[in-house]
Amino acid sequence: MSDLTFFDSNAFLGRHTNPYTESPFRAEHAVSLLGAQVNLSGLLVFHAEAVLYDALHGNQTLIDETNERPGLHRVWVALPEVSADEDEAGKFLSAMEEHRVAAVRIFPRTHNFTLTNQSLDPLFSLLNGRAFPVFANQEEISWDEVIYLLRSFPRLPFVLTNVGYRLGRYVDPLMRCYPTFHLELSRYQVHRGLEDLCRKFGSERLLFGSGLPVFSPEPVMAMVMSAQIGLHDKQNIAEANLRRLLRRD
Amino acid sequence: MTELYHDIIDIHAHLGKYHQFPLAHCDAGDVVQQADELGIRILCVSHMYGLLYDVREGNTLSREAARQFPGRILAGGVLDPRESEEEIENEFNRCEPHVAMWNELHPALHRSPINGPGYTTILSLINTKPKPVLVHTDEDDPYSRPDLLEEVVPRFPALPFLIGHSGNVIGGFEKAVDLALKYENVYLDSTFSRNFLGVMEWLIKKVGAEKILFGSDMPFLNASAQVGKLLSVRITESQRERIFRENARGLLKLDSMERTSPKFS
Repeated sequence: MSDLTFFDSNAFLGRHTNPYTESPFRAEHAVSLLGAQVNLSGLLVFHAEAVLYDALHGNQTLIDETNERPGLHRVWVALPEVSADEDEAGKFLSAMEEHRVAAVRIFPRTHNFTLTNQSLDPLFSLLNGRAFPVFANQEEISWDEVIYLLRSFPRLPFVLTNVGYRLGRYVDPLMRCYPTFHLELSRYQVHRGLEDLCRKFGSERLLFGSGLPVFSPEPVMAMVMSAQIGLHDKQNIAEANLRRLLRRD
Repeated sequence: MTELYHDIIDIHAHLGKYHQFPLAHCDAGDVVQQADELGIRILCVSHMYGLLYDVREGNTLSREAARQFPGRILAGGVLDPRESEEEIENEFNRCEPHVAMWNELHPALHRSPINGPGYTTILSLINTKPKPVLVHTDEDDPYSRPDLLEEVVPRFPALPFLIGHSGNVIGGFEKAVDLALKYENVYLDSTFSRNFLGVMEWLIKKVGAEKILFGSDMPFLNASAQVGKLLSVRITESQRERIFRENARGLLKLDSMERTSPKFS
């Protein structure tokens, strides 16, 4: 197996429901995973408080907890309230830029809204202009909403995370039809799945992710390391694609 | 991450397709190739055709795979609890001489609880010639809850029960652990699709490495991830050897196979 370095596209801080590891998952613990132990070079994190309590409150907590921790890259949770009109969306974007927030996450099911009534269109229009990445868990967004987003905002990189291994018949057409659709791999643990995805669509839109602190990074790392694909493809998946997406390479 | 292992024994693998999602590279040659890449020396397989459609044809396909790859593939037997007692007994008698273990009894796919009459017939037959029995479990499936085995295991103390997926989800893992602690003849299978952070360490701490066997569930799941989670878990090499190989070697009585398979060391 090769010595790849991984940049985790799917992690969060704060309280969680995994009984087999300490909760809350604190920034110090996340930072301790960086480096030698598991070959992680960075983690893209949102804060559970922004999901379970209040997005704006949790986004601020994320700023506080990741301050001066350069290995932790910030993700803010967005709601329709920050996208009421162009002015509100502009303020949210400015605040993200001020705080070096790297990406946006949305939770339409947990936060009780839909994309197809244009609730986030003003924000997405601004993000679309900057090719600013948006993430969502598969359980949080309908396939119709995914297609609405991809069709309406064709420059907006969209990353679908926590996609189960049985969902290939949904994933493949999205990979084929929408060049801004990206797939995070933490739960896409398909037999010869990486080999098939790389052969059909290339490696540029596949992202390593763990699901920390709920899921373990090592099984996904092993899947990437032992896949029968080229080293360049492995490097893309492990780290380079996400850095490119976040404009950090 | 620890370097690649060798001579792993996989007690939970399959061949063939599955209707719910695309599966490619899933015949015997493909699975053996994947096993070679991951250091898996011996696989106990059953064909999905037997689990999903026709148990007799599925068992025949598993046996053919074992013949095609002697010393690498062991046939796992499947029986269908929905069939009549006579049909079950006929298939048991036909395939039993050729199977290394029963892989797997699948209450979820057969929509039949493990403590129901169909599986009572099956387990009573298996008990006449005891071999390890891998039982699919999943706390989220009403037919496959691990606690249903509470009614079953005490009746068959001579049968080694392998708890497939160790209950599969939070809540199920705890019940699987309870069974493994309570009964000497209950073991856990390391295969599950949701690899919760810390769960392998927790399982090993609870029941001990001597009670856990490696399974990949390939081609249903990605075998690399299943191997990877055991390579990275923080345990002693002796514990890792037990899980990857030695426990299965003992349960499957593979010492005789070792003599006829010089590459196995």
